[in-house]
Amino acid sequence: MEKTLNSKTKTALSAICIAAFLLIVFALDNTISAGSSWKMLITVIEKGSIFALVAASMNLLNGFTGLFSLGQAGFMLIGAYTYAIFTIPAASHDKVYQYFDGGLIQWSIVEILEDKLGVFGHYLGMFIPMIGAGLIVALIAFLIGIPVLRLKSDYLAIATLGFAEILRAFFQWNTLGPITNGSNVLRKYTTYGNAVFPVIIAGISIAIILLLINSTYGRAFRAIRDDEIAAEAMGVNLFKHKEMSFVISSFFAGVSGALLAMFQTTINATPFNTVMTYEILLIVVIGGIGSITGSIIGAFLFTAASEWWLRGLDAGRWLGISSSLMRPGFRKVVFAVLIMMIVLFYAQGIMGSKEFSWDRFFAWIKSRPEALKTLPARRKAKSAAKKEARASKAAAKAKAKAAKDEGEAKKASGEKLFTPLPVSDEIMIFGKEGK
Amino acid sequence: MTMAKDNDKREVVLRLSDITMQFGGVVAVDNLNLDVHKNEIVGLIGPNGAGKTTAFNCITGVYEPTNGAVEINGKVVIENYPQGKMKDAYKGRNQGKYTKALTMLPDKVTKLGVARTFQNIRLFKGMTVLENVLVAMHMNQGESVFGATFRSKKAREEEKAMREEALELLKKVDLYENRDDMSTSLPYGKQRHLEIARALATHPSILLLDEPAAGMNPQESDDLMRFIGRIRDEFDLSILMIEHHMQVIMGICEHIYVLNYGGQIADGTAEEIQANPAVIEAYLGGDE
Repeated sequence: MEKTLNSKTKTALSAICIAAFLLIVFALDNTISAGSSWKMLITVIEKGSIFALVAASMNLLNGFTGLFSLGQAGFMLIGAYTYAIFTIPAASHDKVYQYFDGGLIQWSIVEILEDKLGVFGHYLGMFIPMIGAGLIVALIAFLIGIPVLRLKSDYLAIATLGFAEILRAFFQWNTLGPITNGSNVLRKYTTYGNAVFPVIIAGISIAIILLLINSTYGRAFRAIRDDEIAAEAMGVNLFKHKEMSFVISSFFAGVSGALLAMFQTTINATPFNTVMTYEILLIVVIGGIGSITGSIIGAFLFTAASEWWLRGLDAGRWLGISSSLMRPGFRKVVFAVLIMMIVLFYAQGIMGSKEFSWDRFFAWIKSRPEALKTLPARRKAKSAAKKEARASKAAAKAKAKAAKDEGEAKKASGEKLFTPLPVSDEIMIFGKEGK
Repeated sequence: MTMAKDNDKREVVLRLSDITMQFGGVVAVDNLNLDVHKNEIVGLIGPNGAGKTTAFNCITGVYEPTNGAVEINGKVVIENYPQGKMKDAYKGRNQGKYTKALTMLPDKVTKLGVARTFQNIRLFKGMTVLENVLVAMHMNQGESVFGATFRSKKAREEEKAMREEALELLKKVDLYENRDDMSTSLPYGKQRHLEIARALATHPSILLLDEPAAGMNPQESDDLMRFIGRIRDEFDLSILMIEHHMQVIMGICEHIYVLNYGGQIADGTAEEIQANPAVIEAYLGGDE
């Protein structure tokens, strides 16, 4: 048996790793110059952590509660708008809301608090609308959840997807212009200064999701996912728990929407469409439905691939290969093929439904030398097994051929292929009625 | 048809009065009257499709009975009468006797102390044996989702108490060694035991077992019989069970009800049932 580490050591290890990661992110953001090609790394870290959060929130719904909901982009949209609307500096309102006489709201929470509390107030002013964004989204999710969560599987997906689309249209409605700026972009609102900010917020949020999943409520969610009828028979109130999961998931989708608004520096309702929802769903599937670790890894891989590694496919030159095929849009073709491969051959995703654990990590590390040593032997065994399989297949084929030949020979000689069963009284008992 | 009996002095913990379940034109359960007394083991038998599981679903709130009432511990918790479309289509009897519409969701019924198992095992597949039992204890914990997420003192204490109780329960049903196994990796007989353990974790006073011995060999069903008797005494339960294994039913049930095509054709002790011509006809077919 593998000896397991005690929980204090594991916590310490995790804390050290997280601190080191934050320090590295902070340092990188300060040292990488704007023109460097490594600037992309920062973008990936920022966007990756935002998508990790929204993917984790979607996984809470899809992977842990078994609710196939596709409203995530719509909820992010509300979050992004809520944050942006309340943090546009007073002086910029005239410019931003140029078609709506400076808009309805003429103040910014960040500025108000900054005046009173200084730097602390500045961050508090960012934090409050961010949490507020989550809360508003949670409230809307609560209301829409009442009718929608009575639906099951695909129907729920369609309803939430439709709701998200309605939201998008609603936010672009001209009559709401004084608040949402209609179909024009919102800009000049307060954003974060360093890539550490989204990483920290996303990290804390994901930690809360993990804590929830591992609590007694998380167990009830998973019970609903595994078997609704049995869960209900065990006293789990289906509606209450589904609603809970939906609201909490939407809260974090709202927070990630606020973070996305900060990352993009300008927002508009248009990109929060179904494509965005599918991207999030993709991250969840690639990472593994039912694994938060998987969602995080999936989010960073997806962002890195789409923003950075596969960029060259659109630009005409990738990994030293250039081709006339590689024009804008080709990246998406390659991406689609990659995704098909993953779904076909790797349906469990990267992590399946497992989570990262230090025990498993160290067990894996420890098993490496042994695995390397036995690699040739295993390879040999594998090829031997293959050979054997081939041989047995050939033997079966030969046998089948022989049988066929025999049958044909019999046919040719006029022999009967099957001997009919003798009709006896014993057999007839079951056929006749009660005689 | 209705059998006047009730020379049993024990109090009635579960009573079905004229329960009728009609799906469109099909009457799946027709006027079922059934009493379960305290600490009694009652059997519900009948050929395939007789409506036994439907009757269970009516008790546990999965279905709304078309007509009739369910009384749990002396209180009517489910009552219904044919309404709407059913009013004209209704084929059962006793129309007009019940006038209230009272329904209850399955989780509420479970909270009232009626736990059940399923005919085709319904364990939580993605969870361990211990977690399966812990889910059933979830409804009895009082911490809010907020407190549970942030591990308040109360939540930690409750979690600890739940774990201890669950492990204790697993010891009683001989699953302690398997506590960290995935529920689906258990052998069939043990999965049945786990289902019963999970039902017991909801602190029931009435236990409904839907074919607990299905797929078991005579030796296993013999063990199960003793096991059911044991948990009845240990947990102070009243048990209503559906079963096909006559050996189990006849060996353990104090009172047996027989259904055929939804209707109740007989009830009585094992000896009475075995001698009842209607039952023999239902099972073996009569003379044409």
